Amino acid sequence: MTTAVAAVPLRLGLVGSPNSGKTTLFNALTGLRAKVGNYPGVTVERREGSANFDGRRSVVIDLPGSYSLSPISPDEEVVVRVLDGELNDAPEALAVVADACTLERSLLMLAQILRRGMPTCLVLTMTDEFQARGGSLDIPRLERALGIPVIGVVGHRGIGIAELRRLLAKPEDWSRPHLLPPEEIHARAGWVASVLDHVLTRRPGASLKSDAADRIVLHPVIGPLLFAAVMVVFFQLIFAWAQPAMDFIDAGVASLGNLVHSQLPAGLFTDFLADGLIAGVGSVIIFVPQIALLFTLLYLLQDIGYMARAAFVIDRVMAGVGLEGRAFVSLLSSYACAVPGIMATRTIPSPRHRLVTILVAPLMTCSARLPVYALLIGAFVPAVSVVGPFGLQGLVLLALYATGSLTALLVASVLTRTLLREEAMPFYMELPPYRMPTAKLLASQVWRSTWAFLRRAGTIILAVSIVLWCLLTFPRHPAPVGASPAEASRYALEHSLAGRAGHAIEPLIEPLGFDWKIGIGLIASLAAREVIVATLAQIYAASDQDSSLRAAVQNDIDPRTGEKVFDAPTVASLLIFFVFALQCMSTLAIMRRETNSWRWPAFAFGYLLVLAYTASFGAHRIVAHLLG
Amino acid sequence: MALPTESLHTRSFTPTLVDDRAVSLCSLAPGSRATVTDVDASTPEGHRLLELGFLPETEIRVVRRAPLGDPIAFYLRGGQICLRRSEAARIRVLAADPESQI
Repeated sequence: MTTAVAAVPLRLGLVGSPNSGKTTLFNALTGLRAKVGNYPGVTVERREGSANFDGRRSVVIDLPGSYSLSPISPDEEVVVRVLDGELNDAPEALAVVADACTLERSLLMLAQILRRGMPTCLVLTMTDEFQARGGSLDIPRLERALGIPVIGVVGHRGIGIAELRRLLAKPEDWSRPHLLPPEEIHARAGWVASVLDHVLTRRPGASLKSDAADRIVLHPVIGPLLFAAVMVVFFQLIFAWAQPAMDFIDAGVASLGNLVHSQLPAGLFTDFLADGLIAGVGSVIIFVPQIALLFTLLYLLQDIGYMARAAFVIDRVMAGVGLEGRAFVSLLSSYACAVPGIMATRTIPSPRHRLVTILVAPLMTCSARLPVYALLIGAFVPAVSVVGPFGLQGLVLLALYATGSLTALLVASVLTRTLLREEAMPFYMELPPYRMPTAKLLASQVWRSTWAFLRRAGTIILAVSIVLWCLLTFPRHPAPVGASPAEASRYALEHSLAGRAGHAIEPLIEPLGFDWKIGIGLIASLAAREVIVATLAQIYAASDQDSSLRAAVQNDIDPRTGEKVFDAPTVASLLIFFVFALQCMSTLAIMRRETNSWRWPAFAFGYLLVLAYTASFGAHRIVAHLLG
Repeated sequence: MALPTESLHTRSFTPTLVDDRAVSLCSLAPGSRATVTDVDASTPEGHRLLELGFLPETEIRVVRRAPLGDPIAFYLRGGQICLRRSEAARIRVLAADPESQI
């Protein structure tokens, strides 16, 4: 009997509203081994993890956060379809996760779920906060009133988790309600009131600490200033704090390349290993500290509860361009990567708002641009202090971020007024109490996202690196007699396939101040922006074995003019090009998936390319003019 | 609760008076308290307000307006939710203190 039960894993679904503590609970039950994918046919993220409940193997499915089973967004639709059994891997039992403090609201959805007739239990989270706010609840009475098992936990401290595991092991034994709650919303509200009447012996008060903090954070004057300050500090930290780790990796990659050159016999394979593989992948791995830091700050702001406040402060501005506060959260996520940012638009109920947000998300400066910015700013912007701790490098970086962000708002404003006009849609958003996330939750989120980036570096970029190395190496032309080694390798590079392609597009990109080497980089970066750094690393390693990439681009001389290839107008132009252009296969692929056609990714690619070319041309001219 | 339940009971005996005194939720000043009387739920979006807990007889406190005046944050049913003025306008309430109207 027991063995038969243990053979097939139990499928348990977690249902709850956003901010209910569902993710914390999911992590507490499954550890770090979550599988992330998509629901078939739709693009809502599907997360499941394996767990062991009291010896019974189980699969825990984290359903998207939802306020109601009367869906108005794609996320909520998925929850309903899963509960209806329309998606083949429906759970056998449900754990409804509800914040004890907002139980009065959560029970409205619980009533709808109970009507589905699935074995259901209720998990009350944040019971510590509930008590601290003076709330008092009779759990055995609540169990009797609802007719289902109820358990209180403090997810992040692990309190009640062992008991919960024992309960989840045996959904066959769960009690079922004798009478189903009503469906109609007013009748349901009456049902909730009558349930809570005898159960909620004392209502929790408002969170005094959160209210006190909000008086400052959302103050009419201090609030917007704080918002601006958070943004400035955010980018300073990313740039300054990651530097030592980056220097360390940089040195490590360089010495590994040298080691390969010195230990292996000289030849094609050694060149491939040192200049193709190690240089290519190394120049991306170097940005892991920066990207991990960026994700840490993003998740920290989100988990603390500041992100919702930021959306509250900025919503009026977003309304000005025809969008809403949630679009802001999605755009802010796009600072890390447009792919999760575009996926986050699924919480936006209006299809047109969603489409506009998707189309402008690539303008937000994603982490893949950081390697490019870091290389160019690090090499060409002097590290001088402007005001106190704020250096010129950080401010230039901030200016690039600001340019992208403001353009995103501008484009959204144009789109919502022309191509994608629509009646105003409702805006509602929860402002959860401030909560300190545990280091464990934060670490797991940062690890997942950074690992996803690294995997990309390990697959797409590795593949592109290999192809590029071949393009840069073949066909092999013998150098003219009497050429120095540096001249010989430059000659070989210029006559390689990549060199020819770079030369071929040179007339097109010359007005932007780019030479054929940058041209190769731009072609390669169509796969992913950060690839240009790996490409330049290969090009310059091919020309000059000894200097690091930063020094190599600083000192590169155009043999025809005798002037530096990277002069101020060219650096400005290249930076601006990367602010706008949509060079990312992953983003185009996710746009295709989210909009269900190639039309919108093609539109986004086209308008951003035109924008990039025009703005780069302008930037080149203006900077050249300013410098006389 | 600072709600004058006595007077609410008195009012509930005279429904016409209730309707007369009901105002739009977006017209209340921050800090004021009110009880929902009616929600325009004629659209799916309006219906969502009910699902979020903006239901008749629910007690609401206006917490604050955003620095630029919109949206507005409300405390109800144990949590804070913010709505734009245009959404809050769908909700009719009885102010606990009529003076709080602006």
